[in-house]
Amino acid sequence: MAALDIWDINELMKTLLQFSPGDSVRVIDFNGGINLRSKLIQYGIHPGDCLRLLRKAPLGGPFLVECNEREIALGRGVADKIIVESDPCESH
Amino acid sequence: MRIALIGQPNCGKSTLFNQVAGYKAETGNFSGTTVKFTESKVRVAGEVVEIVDLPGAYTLEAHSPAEREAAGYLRSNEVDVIVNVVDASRLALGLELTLELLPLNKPVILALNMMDEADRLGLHIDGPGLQKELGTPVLPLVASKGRGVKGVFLKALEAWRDGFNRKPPAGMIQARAGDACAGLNYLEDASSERHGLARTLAQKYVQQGERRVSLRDRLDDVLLHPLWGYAILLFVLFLFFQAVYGIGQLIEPPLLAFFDAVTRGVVSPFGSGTLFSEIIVGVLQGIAAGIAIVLPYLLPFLFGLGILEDIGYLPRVAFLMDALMHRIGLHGKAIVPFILGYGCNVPAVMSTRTLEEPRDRYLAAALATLVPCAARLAVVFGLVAFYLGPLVAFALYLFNLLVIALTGRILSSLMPEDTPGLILEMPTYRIPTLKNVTGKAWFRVREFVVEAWPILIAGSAVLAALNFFNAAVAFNWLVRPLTWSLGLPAEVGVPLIFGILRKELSLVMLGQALGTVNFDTALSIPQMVTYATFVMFYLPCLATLSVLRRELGTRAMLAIAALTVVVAQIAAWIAWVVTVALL
Repeated sequence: MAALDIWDINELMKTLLQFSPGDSVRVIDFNGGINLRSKLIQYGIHPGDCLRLLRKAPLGGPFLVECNEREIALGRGVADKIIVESDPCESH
Repeated sequence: MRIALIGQPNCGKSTLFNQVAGYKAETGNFSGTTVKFTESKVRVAGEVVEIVDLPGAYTLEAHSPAEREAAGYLRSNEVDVIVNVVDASRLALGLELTLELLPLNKPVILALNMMDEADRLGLHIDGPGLQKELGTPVLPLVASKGRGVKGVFLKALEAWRDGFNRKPPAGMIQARAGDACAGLNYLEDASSERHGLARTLAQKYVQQGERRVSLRDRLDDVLLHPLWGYAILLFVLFLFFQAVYGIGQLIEPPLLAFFDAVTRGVVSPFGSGTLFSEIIVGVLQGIAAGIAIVLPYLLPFLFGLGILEDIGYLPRVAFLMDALMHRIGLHGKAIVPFILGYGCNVPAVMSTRTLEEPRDRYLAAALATLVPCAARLAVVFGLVAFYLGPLVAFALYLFNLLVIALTGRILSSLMPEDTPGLILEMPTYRIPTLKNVTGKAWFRVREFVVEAWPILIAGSAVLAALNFFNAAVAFNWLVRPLTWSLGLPAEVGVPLIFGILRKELSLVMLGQALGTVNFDTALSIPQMVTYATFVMFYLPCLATLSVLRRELGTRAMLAIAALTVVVAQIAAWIAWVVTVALL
């Protein structure tokens, strides 16, 4: 894994929104209420999971991510509430 | 002995069941519930075995009654062996259910299905390793091609004969089971714990080789393309509407001619002009209105929608349209009611059910009823396109979109968004089956027939009776403030009221009301545009109103009805001002 400055607060609070198609990230936490949490878990996205960002719809459209062999579309508002760290996730 | 098949949705469990469903397939009702499990008797190595196909479930932590029933059944003494079918290409997901099944103290056979698909994805699964770790038999399976089926059931039989003496699971599960409670102090402890364990297991026993680009990826590259995706979407919608209108125009005229003939035939013995004959005409008109909505438009629409749904295209549409829908305060999933609205508002309102948040359902239903349906298209064409040219009609449609967008913005600012936004699974593409599509279409049509049609017939009879007592004049005076403010003649009141029954009547009865079918002699150009614009927006038809009430409740229905009148009034007024200014 690339060297990460663990004390860089911007690095710590990155959300899925800041990444581009082709990137792999690991979910740290959800920055939202119980409604959002249970919704994401229902779609198989848990903290600790690896997400692969597949594509973005144009004009501020949603993100398409792959997580646990399921493909989920996430609106930008949702993507901005998923706190992630960049992680190549090679094991998967 | 009885074997229960269980697995997550789309794991190929039913394919396996159909492979073996032998000489006596039957659907059984279990323990006094209405939940139906399919059961079949099969001969395995000389032994007659009963196989029960349980409905697909992601977890045993059941939420719906059907799931609860399945979970309870699995725990009961009626099941001797559990065959857990797992999609080998999604092992991490499938194992979550397996980890729930293992503690049930019954022999569990883990059948890794779709091994061919996993191989295509470049996944190498260490079956023996997994078997050792779980302490339960793990077998490969390609149910669609019938490979490995026999092995699974022989193993199940063997497990039953040996009795239940599962080897204790090795290292990881034992260790993890212990610290499950002490583990993550998280929202859904048990679920998260299983999830983590399943993932770790999958990581340990599945090796990712080279992934071959699948058909799905290639299709998505085109269908979700920032440019081609939208071009194809437009083309698909064009084909869809072309097909539905084509079918509708083929069916509707002979249907209406038939009902005209029937009405004349039924009424003539009683002589026209009596209260009785008028009411009969009203009832027949209500029946005809129902059939004229259902057969030509609703049925082809629902059928076409079912096909798009089963192929897996609708989620792609939602993905493409999400950005645009956000501008009017909704998200991508709400595009479906809008598309449907152009055919008929009834299925449009029904489809708002797929939205999770009540606020979204309300907003989408309110806006979808402003979409001009096929019947309102007839009014716009018969009046505006016929007398003023198709360009003006087209301009009216654009104006309609603008009004909907504006209304959406205003409404959504009044109802602040508290929804998480779009979270939607993109399923794999599938070939739709006739049985599925017709089943769904029938289910939705039945709702219309039961809920909306009787109201339509009753309303039609009441209006006919009022008409008989010369209440038509009263109608004209009732809506006179409205027609006066729009600069329309008082006579258009009756066609407007009858339009609530069926929108075409606003055009059909206009001739009667004005005393001429050459509308340009009775109405000025601005009046025609104003009238058409008002018809485009005001009160949804009775069928739509009753579906609104069913989906959202009486209060919401009344609120939406009031909203449409206000919007229609303002829009018609703007249309009048613009037309006068342009002339």
